Amino acid sequence: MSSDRPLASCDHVVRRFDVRGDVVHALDDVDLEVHAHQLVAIAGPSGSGKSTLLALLGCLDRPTSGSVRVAEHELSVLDRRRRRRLRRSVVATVLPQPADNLLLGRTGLDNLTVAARHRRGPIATVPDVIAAIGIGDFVERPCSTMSGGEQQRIALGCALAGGTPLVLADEPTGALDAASAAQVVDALRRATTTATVVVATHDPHVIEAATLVVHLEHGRRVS
Amino acid sequence: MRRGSAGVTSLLPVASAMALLAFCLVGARLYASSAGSAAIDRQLDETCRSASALDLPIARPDAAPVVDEIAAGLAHVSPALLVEVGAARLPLGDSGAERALPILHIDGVEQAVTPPLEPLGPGEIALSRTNVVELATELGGTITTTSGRELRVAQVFDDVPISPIPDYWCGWADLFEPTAGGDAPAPSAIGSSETIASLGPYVYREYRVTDDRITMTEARATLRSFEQATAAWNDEYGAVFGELPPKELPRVVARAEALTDAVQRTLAPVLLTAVVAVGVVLVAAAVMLARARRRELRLLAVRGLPPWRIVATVAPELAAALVAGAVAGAVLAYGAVRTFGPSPRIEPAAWTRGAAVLTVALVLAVPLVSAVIAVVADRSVDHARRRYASVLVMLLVLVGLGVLTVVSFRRLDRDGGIQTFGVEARGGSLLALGFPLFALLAIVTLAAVVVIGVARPLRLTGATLPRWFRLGWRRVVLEAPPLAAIVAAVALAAGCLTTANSLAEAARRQLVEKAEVYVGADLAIAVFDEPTVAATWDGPTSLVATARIRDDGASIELMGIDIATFGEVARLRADASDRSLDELLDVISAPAADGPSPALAVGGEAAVGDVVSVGVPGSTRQLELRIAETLPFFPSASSGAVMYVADRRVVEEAIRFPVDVLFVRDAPADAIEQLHDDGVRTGVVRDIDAAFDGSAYSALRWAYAPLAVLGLLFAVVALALQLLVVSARTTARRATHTIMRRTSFGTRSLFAASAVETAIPLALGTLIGVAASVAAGSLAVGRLDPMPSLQPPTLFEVPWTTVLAVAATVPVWTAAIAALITRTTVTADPLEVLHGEL
Repeated sequence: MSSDRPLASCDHVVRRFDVRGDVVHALDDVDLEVHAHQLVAIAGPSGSGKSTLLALLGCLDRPTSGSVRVAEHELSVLDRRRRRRLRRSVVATVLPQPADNLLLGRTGLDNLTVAARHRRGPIATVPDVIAAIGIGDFVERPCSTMSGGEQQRIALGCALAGGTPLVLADEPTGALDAASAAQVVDALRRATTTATVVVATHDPHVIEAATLVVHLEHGRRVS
Repeated sequence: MRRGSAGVTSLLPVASAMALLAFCLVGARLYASSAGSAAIDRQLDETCRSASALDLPIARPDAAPVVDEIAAGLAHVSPALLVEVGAARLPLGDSGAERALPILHIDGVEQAVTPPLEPLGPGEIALSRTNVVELATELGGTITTTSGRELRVAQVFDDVPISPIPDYWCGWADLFEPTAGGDAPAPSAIGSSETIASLGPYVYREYRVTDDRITMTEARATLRSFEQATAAWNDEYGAVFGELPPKELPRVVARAEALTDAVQRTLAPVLLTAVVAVGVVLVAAAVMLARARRRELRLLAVRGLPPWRIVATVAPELAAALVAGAVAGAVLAYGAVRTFGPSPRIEPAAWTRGAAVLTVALVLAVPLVSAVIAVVADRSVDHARRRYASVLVMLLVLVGLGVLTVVSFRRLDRDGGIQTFGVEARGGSLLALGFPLFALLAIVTLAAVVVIGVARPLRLTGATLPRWFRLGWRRVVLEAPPLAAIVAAVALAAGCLTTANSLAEAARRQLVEKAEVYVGADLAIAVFDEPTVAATWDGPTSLVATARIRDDGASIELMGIDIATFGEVARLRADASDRSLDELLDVISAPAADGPSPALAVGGEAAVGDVVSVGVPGSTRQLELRIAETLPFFPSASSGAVMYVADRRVVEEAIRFPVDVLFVRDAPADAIEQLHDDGVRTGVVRDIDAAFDGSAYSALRWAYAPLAVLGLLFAVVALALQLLVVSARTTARRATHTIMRRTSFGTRSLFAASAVETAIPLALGTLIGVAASVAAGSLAVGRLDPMPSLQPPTLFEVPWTTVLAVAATVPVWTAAIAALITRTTVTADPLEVLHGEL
């Protein structure tokens, strides 16, 4: 992959949903380019289409029209199996609830190792990930005993484990207190040394840390 | 995957569904085996054991070892009885004519009479009391044969009873029963082996089927061994002494097999439907499992793991749960069939077949459930969906079921169901017998399609309803597929239960009604003397004069009834005539002083107002009767024959020697014995309880019982689906209620809304199921008549008891589910709910 080409891009993307007979325009003609090692914040009020855009970039959905490209793959023509393959090798998604990203009965290290194995990535990169996002102090504790912030940072580590180039995080600080959120923001910033991070967020601290901020309103990009 | 009690609990629905599947698959085979065992029991019981035994003659004195060797391979037989028969020639008066005195000895004969005999010596015989009189001798007396040999009457025993004849003697019934002309049978005697040896005896070994109850497989093995032994004996001695005559066992086994086949044919569509139903339960249970573990599964799916990897994560514990469920289901099926089946004896082969089918089911269930879990996990994160596929599949299923229903109805209309011929049950193809179930499935599927179609527009309704009702109503029509699934499952549950009871009740009722017409009362006894003792019985009695007349080659029955008493004894189904039995009796109660007397015409072509002439036997007179009413059937009228019913005085005046038949209602158990003690000679006896109690009718009773189980199975399906929907909506419901409770929407309102949400699909499903079942039953019952040529025709009746019972479960079920919903909703911590943690 050449460095001048975007890692992910959206071109005139439209996504409509049929909700109980009503058509909802979640995204309407959205353009976006995400380059390597960027920290991109997708900001906007609730219902503006942030999560929908993240789902498209995370290969969890297909656009109604327009083009979404991830690692030079056009998602609108990819079937379910190929989207799944991309999720496994290129894109990692961090879900809003910390606990949803982890096997809670196991330690943080186990989670990182399992995540690397799931992505068929080298287990040897796990210590680098631990060092990169600063989770060494608590990584050997069972996840069920960790705070929300610690869990979310382990979740971010799991997303990076195995050498994933694109990490998507949906409201990663939404369920955290300010101190925990700050730690997660720090970890996100650190993560850009090894990967590109796209975050859907309301959090001004995340927006402040981002190298690119995309504002959505009513499904349209406004800045 | 997560371990611990929560993990085990989440596997319970899958294990339970597998248990249901195992119950159906193994239970069907065990039930068929149980029916087979019961069938062979009944056939053997109905056949004289001596008649179904294998007789191997010891053709020459040195042949005993050869016979022993041939008999060594016989399976499931009692120890051989050595039968020795000789015949002494006795002079018949002084005319020089002779008659034979059969003298026999059978192993154990000394104990088979009362009082038991002491061992008889050479030249000694034992006679029954009647034969002592017949032979004009006495105890200690002698009988001299034509050759001058003297036989001493050493012992006397009581006459062997003939009603019924003891099992030991059934092969020798002609020695004890009166002849067709009512004369005493020819005298016979019991003698010692030595006595018989001197008379040039016929000796053979009788190998009876074992006294122990045997299974169908064992009966087949016995039959094969009999055939092999017969062939071996014929090879050895057949050319010289003639081949062995055929015996009853082949027919006994064939009849039992026909009976078992009839049950299996009826079971086949039931099993097919059950497997489909349980398949739905299994899929629903898999979805429940996927939901219970959605956090872990979603994580795996988000990470892009392929389905087989997700399956591999779940498969080991899933396989363990399925195996445990399968074993539990099989054990449950065994217990149920042993306890409630036609016979507790189940063949090992049935277990083997059941285990084989269960293994195949397990091999298929593990990947099926795993695949459902993997698909649910994948779809829960990947929102790009294909539309219309499920609608297309449903339409295809509907068309398929419609075609199947039409084809099966045409087959049923053409061939009927299981039909009885003498002691055999025949017929009943899978297609024809499956009609009620196929029709039910088709109607329910059509209803489900309609429900899906109307659910969306209905979402816009209910704005003016009270708040609690509106919330419940909105949740009912919120999602069309779960609504249709619950309605369909409830409809199938209600429909199967109603159909099962409708068919089983119709089968029972038609046997009773046909027996009522065939017998005419509870008991009908042909009597040759005035039955005075009958006047003291508790139940009513009526004496009927009957005559059978040949008129121009046709057989006409004439029945003269006692108007005063007949109505108390006989029953007449309402559809026989527009008039009641009492009104009909009134019509014929006034014999005409001159001219034709009024009569009822049963069958035949005579119309009301016609005057028919019946030739009186033994004279040139004609009995003229004016037809006052025509009926298709009447008590004791033979189906297919013409019968005229008139006042008893009319018949007695015309017919010199009519046959009197005593009709009895609520007869005492020893009615016949009382009549005999009263000196009344009796002829043919018809008993309503025994008229159609033959094994051939067992198929009808045995075949419909599992259908009721199918109804319960669908009730489990409905419950599983409803719990699934309740579980799926828990989070949303908690979130909504957490907000609504702040707007004075309390627990009571929540309960009421939940009751509406539960009750509407339940009531709708029940209504559709019962209506479909009644429609299918009304078309099927008459055509499933096992004796279509026998009056009266089978009528369909709505099984109101079952319908009311099914309807009564709706409020109970509603209250239980509404309470569950309310409890799971109000006990959630509002803080955790608002954080999205519950």
